[in-house]
Amino acid sequence: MMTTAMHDDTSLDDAVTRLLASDAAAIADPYPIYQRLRETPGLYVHPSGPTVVVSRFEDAREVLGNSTDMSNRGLAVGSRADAIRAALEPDDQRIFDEVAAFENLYVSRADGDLHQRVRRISQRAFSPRKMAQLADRAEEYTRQLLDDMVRDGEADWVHGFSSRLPMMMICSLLDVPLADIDLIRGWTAKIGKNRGGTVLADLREAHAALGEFREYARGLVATHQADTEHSELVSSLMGAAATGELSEDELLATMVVLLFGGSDTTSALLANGLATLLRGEGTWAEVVTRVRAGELRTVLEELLRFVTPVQTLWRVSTADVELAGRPIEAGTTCLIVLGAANRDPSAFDQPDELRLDRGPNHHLGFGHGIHFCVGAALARLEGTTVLEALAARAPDLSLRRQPTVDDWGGNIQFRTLETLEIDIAAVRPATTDRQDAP
Amino acid sequence: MTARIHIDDQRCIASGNCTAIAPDWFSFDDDDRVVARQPAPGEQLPPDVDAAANQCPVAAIAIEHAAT
Repeated sequence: MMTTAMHDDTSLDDAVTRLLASDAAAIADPYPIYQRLRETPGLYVHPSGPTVVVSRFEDAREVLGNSTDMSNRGLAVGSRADAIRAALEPDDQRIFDEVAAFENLYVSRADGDLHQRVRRISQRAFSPRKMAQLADRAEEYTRQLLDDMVRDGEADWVHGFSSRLPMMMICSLLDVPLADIDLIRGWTAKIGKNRGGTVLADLREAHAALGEFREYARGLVATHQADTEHSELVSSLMGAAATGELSEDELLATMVVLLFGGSDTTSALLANGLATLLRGEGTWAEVVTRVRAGELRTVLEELLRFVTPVQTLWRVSTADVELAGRPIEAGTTCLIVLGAANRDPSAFDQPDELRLDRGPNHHLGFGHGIHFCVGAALARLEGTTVLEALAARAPDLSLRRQPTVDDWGGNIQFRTLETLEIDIAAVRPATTDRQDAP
Repeated sequence: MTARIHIDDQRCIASGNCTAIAPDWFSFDDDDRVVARQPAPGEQLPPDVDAAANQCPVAAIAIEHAAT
């Protein structure tokens, strides 16, 4: 057996079980659990599946860098997924299989040739150089959303801003009508909530949402086929579909995963990130000073480390491998906890401190290896744009209410504040001297 | 000591890490491939360049340090 029996194991098992089940208190503050995971000698193995939980920085980097012996199908197959599926009634097993079949086509879940094909198409459209050309659009949307919040006296940052900007950006990249944003957000929330059938009700909701989302994407493709003017991303996707480089299912799955991955992750960064920067202790004043001093990117990278919007990644071993001196059998589910690795004291000095001048910052916030976040440049653009706008328009910004456990939602992979009340009166009107404003 | 910066085009996934960490040393060409602005700078490199190589998610950057 590969388990490491420690005196504290039972209570740690329970704590990880609560995390996996999206228990609100565990999601609101997973960091004490992460610390215990990191401090477990060898490898901590959770009994569900079993599941190897990889929490230390070097171990996480090693697993993510090994795409030869590790598959990205960790939520569909492997010790944990197999155990979850086996416990389901036949009707729910069919649902599990349908969700897995579709999600396996995501660039983030694909291996080998499929991954290379889909990644190549997306990568060109999301390149840092192309993203830099979108700076004006990100600024314009940011200004619009802030103006709307000020006008309406909207204090909820999540409702008024953080849940909207990333979706607006990714929709504009995919030529999706902005009027459909609320519809799409409804689906992405349900798809993101389900993590491989861990919670049955979430699996069923995700299945229904995927069915609707897929039909919507199909309609979108039909519209795009009729149109002559496309964004570059849509052109390359439609082109790949036309030449058979992408099958219809692969095209639909790519649109779904880009809309999902391009929105909910950055929304979590903007919500959890602003809560971090506004928690008091003079942090926001320091942010404003550093942004003015041109240290915007350094601030953002530390925020990415500290918040880690995607907290976990799933892998499954395809061969017998060794990690931290322990054997992992082929077919074992591995849960890589980026949120824990990014707070590993062996990789970061005083990791639980937010140090806005930390650098160079070698965090794993976008993952590592060939699956490194394809939208990293877009996320960085959105993050810097928002920080810059807030520092300029709201140097005295504060929270109207500190978040509580009840304000947190999501799951072990995507933990996010669902509401964040800010002092919207502290946001000044936008300067109106821009000549290039539409 | 002189240094030489090698970039493996086949591995590069245009993550943007190196251009973010060491923008004075790495940039993208028109085909979105990373290029070293000065492949053989003939001097000691600043720590940012090593950091950029270390943080390349696919280890596409190699830095060769050679005694002159």
